[in-house]
Amino acid sequence: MGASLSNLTEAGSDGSGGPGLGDIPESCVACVFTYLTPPEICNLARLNRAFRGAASSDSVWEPKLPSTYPQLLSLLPPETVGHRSPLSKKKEIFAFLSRLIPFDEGTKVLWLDRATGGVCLSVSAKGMTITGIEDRRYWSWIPTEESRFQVVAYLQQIWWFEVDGLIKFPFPAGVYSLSFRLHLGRFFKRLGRRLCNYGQTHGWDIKPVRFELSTSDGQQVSRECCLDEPEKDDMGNHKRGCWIDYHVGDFVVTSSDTVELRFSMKQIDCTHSKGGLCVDSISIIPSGLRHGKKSL
Amino acid sequence: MSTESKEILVGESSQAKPEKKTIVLMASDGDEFVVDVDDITNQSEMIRNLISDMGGTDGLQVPLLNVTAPVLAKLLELFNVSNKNDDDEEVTQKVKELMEAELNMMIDVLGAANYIEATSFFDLSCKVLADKFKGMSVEEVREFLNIECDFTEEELQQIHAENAWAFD
Repeated sequence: MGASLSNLTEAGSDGSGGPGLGDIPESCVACVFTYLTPPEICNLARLNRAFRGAASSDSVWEPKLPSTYPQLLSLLPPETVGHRSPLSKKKEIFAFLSRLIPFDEGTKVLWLDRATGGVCLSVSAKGMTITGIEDRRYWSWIPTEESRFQVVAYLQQIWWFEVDGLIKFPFPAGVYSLSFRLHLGRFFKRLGRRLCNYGQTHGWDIKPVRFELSTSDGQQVSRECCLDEPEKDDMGNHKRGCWIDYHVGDFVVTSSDTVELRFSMKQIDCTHSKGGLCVDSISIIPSGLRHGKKSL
Repeated sequence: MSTESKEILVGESSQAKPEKKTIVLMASDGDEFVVDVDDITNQSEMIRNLISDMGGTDGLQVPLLNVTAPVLAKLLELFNVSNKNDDDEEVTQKVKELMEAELNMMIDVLGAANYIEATSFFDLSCKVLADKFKGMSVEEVREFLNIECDFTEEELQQIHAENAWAFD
């Protein structure tokens, strides 16, 4: 029992001037990475060889992946996954899933939020049931770069406005928000400028649209919202001419079983017609990511 | 003193409290540290397993071949802070101060904690480093850690290509 604190401080004070974290075992770097986001990890891969090695190890990336990633991969058409050859490393799987990946014949896309690994999903209007969609007097499809699906449904006018959807999807456990992405007015480009025509936009200030969502395990949410403003004042109408995410509500996924989800949007008071509306998609994202998006 | 039983026992003071169970940790340079069994097993999984494998603590001497005396002293000092506080706030603060004042020592302490499997202390220290790295550029981290870029220009381009997905 010889050691006294005085000779320890002496020995310790010189610090030996050795290199810093360059010497640290990869396991330590790997542990540091558990507290960093994927973009932060990818950034630090440029530091030196030790960091690069840790930044591609499966033990670092496995916890960043959603628990249901094997099911997510199995949803995708083989040619989507296939041409990248085998996704053997967890980092490659994360990188692959963090792009927008179309599936179900391009009517849906999924992606991971890069910072959190949260699973996000979007369903095109093409993947929904729209009452009267086949009747050209009511609805038409407009190709556009403003949708990630390259096409939106445009409503000229109708009395019975109803859009429904049903999806089964392997969400990892968590709380999710569902929103409809809508646009009042018909947009077009002239001489490179974006313009909007509201000639057919009518009826949305009379009664609210009813948004609903329900899950196979009994959760139900609904809300009503007027898509247009009754009087146009000098300040302009900020519900027109831009894409707005209408937040329907949140639902909770407790286990990682495939969740069945129904959602709808209705205005079926047939005493008045309504029209001049673009329907792009719904999106489902972890509710923690919803801040900062323009939504109503 | 009411806190005496929680102190790391060094030298004479261990004899003053013979009823307290202690073991001896031997640093790589031969220095010996007498430590309270409860205090050390509370932190180190390796020593906890060792004691259970040996069937007791009687006269147990544990040589820590990779840990120098100054590093071991610092590690035990931080364990002491951790054992005295129910939450991690105080010890996190101490680790942060060590990182800013003596980074090499902090890294050595981290290595020692890893070696004796002091998992929660190790995780906590790694989080302190991670928090420091957040928001730093690669160049700033390199400077902070005093490490050289050991890649060729070609490799750097390859790394950039590998990771471009995370930034676009």
